Amino acid sequence: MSFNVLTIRSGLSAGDGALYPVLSDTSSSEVIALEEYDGSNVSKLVATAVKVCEVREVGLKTLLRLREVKIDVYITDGRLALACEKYDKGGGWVGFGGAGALVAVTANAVSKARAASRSRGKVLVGHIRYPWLKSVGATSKTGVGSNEAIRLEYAEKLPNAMVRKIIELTLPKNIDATLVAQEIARRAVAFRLANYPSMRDDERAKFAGLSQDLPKLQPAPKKFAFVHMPTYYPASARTAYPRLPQSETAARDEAGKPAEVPGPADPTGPTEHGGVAAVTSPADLDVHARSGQATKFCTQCGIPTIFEDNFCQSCGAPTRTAPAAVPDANPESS
Amino acid sequence: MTAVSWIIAILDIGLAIDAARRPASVWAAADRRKGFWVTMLLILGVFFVIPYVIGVLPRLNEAGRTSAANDFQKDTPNPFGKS
Repeated sequence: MSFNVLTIRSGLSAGDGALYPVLSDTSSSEVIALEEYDGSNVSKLVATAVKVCEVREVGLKTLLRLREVKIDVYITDGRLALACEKYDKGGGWVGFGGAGALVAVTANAVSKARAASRSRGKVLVGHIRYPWLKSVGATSKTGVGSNEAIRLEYAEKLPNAMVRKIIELTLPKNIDATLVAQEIARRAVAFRLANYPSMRDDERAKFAGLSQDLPKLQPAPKKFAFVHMPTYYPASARTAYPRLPQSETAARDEAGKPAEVPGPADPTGPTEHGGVAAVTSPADLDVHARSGQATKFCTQCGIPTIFEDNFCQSCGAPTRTAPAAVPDANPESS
Repeated sequence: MTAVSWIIAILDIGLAIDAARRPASVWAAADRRKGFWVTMLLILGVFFVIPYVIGVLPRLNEAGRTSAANDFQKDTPNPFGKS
């Protein structure tokens, strides 16, 4: 089943917090309940619009869009979570002339009252856990028609394909989106390094390198600049939490803290958790090639890209699909 | 123009300037539209002063208090700040 990153939760629905944030109880001032992985240093800001898109060959297909709303955004040590209490605002009636204006005012009042009634006790929530994060990007406001915005890219594994999606948050214009994106990237890298001790050495080295020298985002006007995670996991409940050693898991369960999602008894690889392997960076593309998956290469510099990237991450030139056997033609790749 | 009219006009303009100077993040946190209220205060200030003072100003003040320490504002000195 397809994973929608945003959902509507009410105070009565006590669901699992793996895929969606859980609402807090009335004793907390926050809308969502924070969990142990969130840590104590939570940055909170407000977004004014959210958009969820699917990345396709020809561009982005908008799946959901919500504008002119107040969205509470929580940047924690374990995820980026968002909550919108007034996602259904109503209104929108416009009248012309004296009578028209009167009708519009009345219609707007009724519409807003009905919307408030519909959404009472319900909150639009969603989160991107850092293990799911494929890349994080930002764009800056450079004039009329542009906004400060961040994009978080994640992937969803379907039976026969990997679907890439992005969630875009529009920020107020006095907020520097590049700082926000860099903070998310910094926390995501730290989370992966701290919670995935069984990570491969090369994978760890890439994360460590990113941790020490996080690139400064300098987006071109009306373009997004991205920081790419070396590896990521497809979004699912099984990959929501890091897999811990059995003894530690038992200890955490006893302490009443979030339990680990059980994985297979015999994990098949050192970087797997919950039975799901991390998706690797372009440097590991020969794995995909050997498994029969078509890959793409930059038409300018020849660097391979992963999945459906249409443009090279290094030079920005278009990519083209190459037969799966091509990388194996290089004896060093096998 | 009477003295009362002058007082109202000055109050309107003062509130409009105050509203315009508040950062966009505070308006967003208050869930109110900056452009709408600044415009209305300037054009139809007589009718919008009281709704603004009662319905918007307290929200802005509250939002300003809670978001004053925002690390991501453009004028905040930090290692990644815009030069």
